[in-house]
Amino acid sequence: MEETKTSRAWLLDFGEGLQAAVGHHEMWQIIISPTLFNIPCTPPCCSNVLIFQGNILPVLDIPILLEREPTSVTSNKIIGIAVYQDDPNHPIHYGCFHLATMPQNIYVSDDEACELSAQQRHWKALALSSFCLNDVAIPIINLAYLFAAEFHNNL
Amino acid sequence: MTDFWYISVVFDGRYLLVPQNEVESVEIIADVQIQPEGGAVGWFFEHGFESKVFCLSHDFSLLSSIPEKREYLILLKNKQPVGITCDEVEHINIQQEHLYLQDLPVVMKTPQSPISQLLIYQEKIGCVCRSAALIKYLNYLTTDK
Repeated sequence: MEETKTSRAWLLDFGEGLQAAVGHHEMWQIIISPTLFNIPCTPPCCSNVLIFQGNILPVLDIPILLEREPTSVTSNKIIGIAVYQDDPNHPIHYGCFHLATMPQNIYVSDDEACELSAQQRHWKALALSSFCLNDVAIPIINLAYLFAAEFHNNL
Repeated sequence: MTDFWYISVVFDGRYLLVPQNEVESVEIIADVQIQPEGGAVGWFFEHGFESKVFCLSHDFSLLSSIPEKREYLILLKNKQPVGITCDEVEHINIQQEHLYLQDLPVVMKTPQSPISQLLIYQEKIGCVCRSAALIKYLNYLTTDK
């Protein structure tokens, strides 16, 4: 009998009904109510930075990035710091995003795989795969692509 | 050999750094002839230059008049130097001050942005711009004005 692979992941809530998952090792830290610095001449989805251990990290607003109509002002209360590599032989990078709630630790198994719905096509370019959680398709997102020039140039 | 000297200017709480070798000179605001035109707030006519002078706000938009706190202007090197006003000016060596330039994250780039790098300075974020990029940005802001 084939063994079902189960992996640990983080379920991220970006607000405005947008949820996605990343690998457990891909979330580095959560910062509560950090000081953000606005940078001029930047896109609306990424106009702030955070100072973290001497590094200046971009902070993405996922709902704005995916062109969702905001129903509320983005709160700075919860910022997630993710870690990613665009290539296994390249250095790691850090990037941040606004979160509406604290990430949830979940377990995802292969037999929960499902397709994204038609209403979730905004995730298509970023999703490595997706799984079903509580009858909702959750994309597992490619962080390296999320923070890559190629993705943002194609928007 | 890398040049670590930068001119750091402050306006409306915004730190802007330009490589020293790309700045023609630092002048006082009193030498600006107020003449708002085409996005510029006036002209600087000293040292054989006829230089347009601009005021940028905290968000790098153009101001149509010179705020009271502006005391200086820096002239950016160009065929015809261009002036940007500021509240304060400082001459800093980023190596001696242990300041580290970090490239502007790719997700923060826009085609018009003059900002190439960022650094942590005085517990704030300084925007590092090359003179040519700033002048191109000012031209972009003033096109069709």
